Amino acid sequence: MPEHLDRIADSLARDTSRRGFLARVGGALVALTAARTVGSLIEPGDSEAFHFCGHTFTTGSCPHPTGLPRIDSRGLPLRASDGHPIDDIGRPVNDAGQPVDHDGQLVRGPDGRPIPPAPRTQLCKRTGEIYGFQAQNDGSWYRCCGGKVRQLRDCCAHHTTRINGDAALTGYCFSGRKVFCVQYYDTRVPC
Amino acid sequence: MSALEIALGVAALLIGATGTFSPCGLSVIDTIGPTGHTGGRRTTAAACVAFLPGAVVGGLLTFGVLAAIGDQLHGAGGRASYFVAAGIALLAAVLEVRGTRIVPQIRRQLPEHWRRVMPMPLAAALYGVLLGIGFTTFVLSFGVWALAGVSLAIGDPALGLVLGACFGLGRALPILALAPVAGRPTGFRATELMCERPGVYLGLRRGDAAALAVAALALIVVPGDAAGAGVGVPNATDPSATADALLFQKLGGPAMISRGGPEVPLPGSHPAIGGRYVATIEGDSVELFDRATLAPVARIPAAGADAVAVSDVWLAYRTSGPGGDAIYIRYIANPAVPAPPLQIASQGGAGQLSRPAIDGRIVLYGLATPRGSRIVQRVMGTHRHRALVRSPRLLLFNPSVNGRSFAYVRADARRSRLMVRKRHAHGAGRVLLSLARAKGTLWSNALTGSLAYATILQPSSNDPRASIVGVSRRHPKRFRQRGPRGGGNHRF
Repeated sequence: MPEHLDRIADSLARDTSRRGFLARVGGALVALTAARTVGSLIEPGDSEAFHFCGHTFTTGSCPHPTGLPRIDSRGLPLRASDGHPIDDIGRPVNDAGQPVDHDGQLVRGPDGRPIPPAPRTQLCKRTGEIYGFQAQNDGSWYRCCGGKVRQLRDCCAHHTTRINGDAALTGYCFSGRKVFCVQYYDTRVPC
Repeated sequence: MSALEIALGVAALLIGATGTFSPCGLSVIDTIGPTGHTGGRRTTAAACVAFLPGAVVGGLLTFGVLAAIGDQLHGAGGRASYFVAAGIALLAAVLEVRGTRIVPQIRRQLPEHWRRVMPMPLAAALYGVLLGIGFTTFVLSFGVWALAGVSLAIGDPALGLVLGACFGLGRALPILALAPVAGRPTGFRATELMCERPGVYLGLRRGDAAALAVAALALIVVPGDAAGAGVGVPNATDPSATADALLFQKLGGPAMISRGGPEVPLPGSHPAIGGRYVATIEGDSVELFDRATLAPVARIPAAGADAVAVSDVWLAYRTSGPGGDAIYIRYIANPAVPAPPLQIASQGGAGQLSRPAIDGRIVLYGLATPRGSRIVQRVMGTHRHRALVRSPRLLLFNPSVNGRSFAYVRADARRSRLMVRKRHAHGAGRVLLSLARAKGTLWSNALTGSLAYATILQPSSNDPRASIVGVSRRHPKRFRQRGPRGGGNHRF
């Protein structure tokens, strides 16, 4: 035992009765055991990434206009690089769904009129339309990614295969649905 | 609740609420909300009902245990403890104002699979416990660390439980408010507000900072007030007190009453206060005065009385004579026509009886003989009596009583201690005041709801000196019993 620990133990033993000292040591062991039990219950909050941070399984991303399946709180697509809202064909849009440039100005055609908006649908719903079945957002879970809290949201369907082409997993889905593809919602809450 | 408990409780509530921004808090909102399972609103309601007590239990566990550990390590109270706790709270407040990144961080999350393998209300209750514990998942405020430090530093289990309950409530209430609207437009707006506007989270952290600063101030000021309330009265003995008055006997002078202003002399000696009356001893009788106006009410014969106690309907007094001490009680519902005196205790030889203490129908007195000592409780008007504490070796003497608590002096070879205990509890009780033998002996005392007064006596055969000190009852220390001086297997 290191010398300083030895001194502490001696001091403890000297300042208390033998029974009291043993009681304290016993109490400390019980507390340590309890802490380790609780520690074994909980899971790492920072997850290893498969193809994006926070995703702990191998299911692929939902088809997204610009790549990584980033969405907003309502499930609508966002550009992964900066979180700007985009429509279903990948153009940055404003709140009204009109295409805008990098300064937020309306993008206009040669005639000076704003170019027409494209649909902007929930990524999961659009995935279902693409693959020909009904899909919906079921469960979600939050994790810490790159110092910010991120929500991992499964796009679920009554479908036995997933977007990867192999057997689908239950994941966060319920009511018999299984994960078809995955998406995420980045918050600005530090962690 | 005291101002300190309120300040710390509010801080704990806010700090708990800040934890809603953690990955775990946000996950639980979605999990127990109507879109997180198939059970609909009924399951959400059941999960919410289960989550709340779980979170409170978790908070109680963490902060109660930390306070108990502090109590074990250094005992409750002490000015240094409060200054350390205030320093911790202030440091956390500064870090919160600056929005400093939380370090150390606990990078853990709730077990997600519980919601899949357990009924939702059970999973919610267990999630509540883990969130209430505070240190099993991400920490979103330095306040969590600060509350832990404060609990440990103060070492007051009661205060720890208050902190734990408020922290648990703080963790639960925002989740209970947000979960039922998850997946609805209101829920989306709330999520966007929380998750996409950093100012909201930072604002909450600044709220935590303000609450912690107020708590730090309370930690510095409030215990100081309590200590300040511990008045000192020189050259005085035999205190008797209520919340609004302190009575005592001046050495070589009159009985006095103090109600916060100047001291007022009373006719007679050895004053006592209780119920509607103030009582003093004058010659061979007890004088009763109206407590509010000090107008004389009655004169009750009490030959040989040298100590008195009074309540609304009972009078008790001690007589001393060559044959020894005796304690008498009289029923005084009509003080003009009191019932005949009834002797309830007597002691001859070297033994002594202490002055009596009364609260309602309860009379307490100490009995000390060379064979041992004890504090006896008797229910007046009945034959019920029992020893509250006894010792064959120590001197247990001079009880006082207030409601369900009583105080007494416990003297051994090293020190005398003013102990306080519930009448229905067991054991020696906790220490309100301790005095080394070289500095004197604690003697007669009085107990109110918040304070205790004790006489510090310097015994002497020709020039005994005495003074009265007041101490707060708020943080009595745990009593550590040591072996008697000289070793050996003595019984305590």
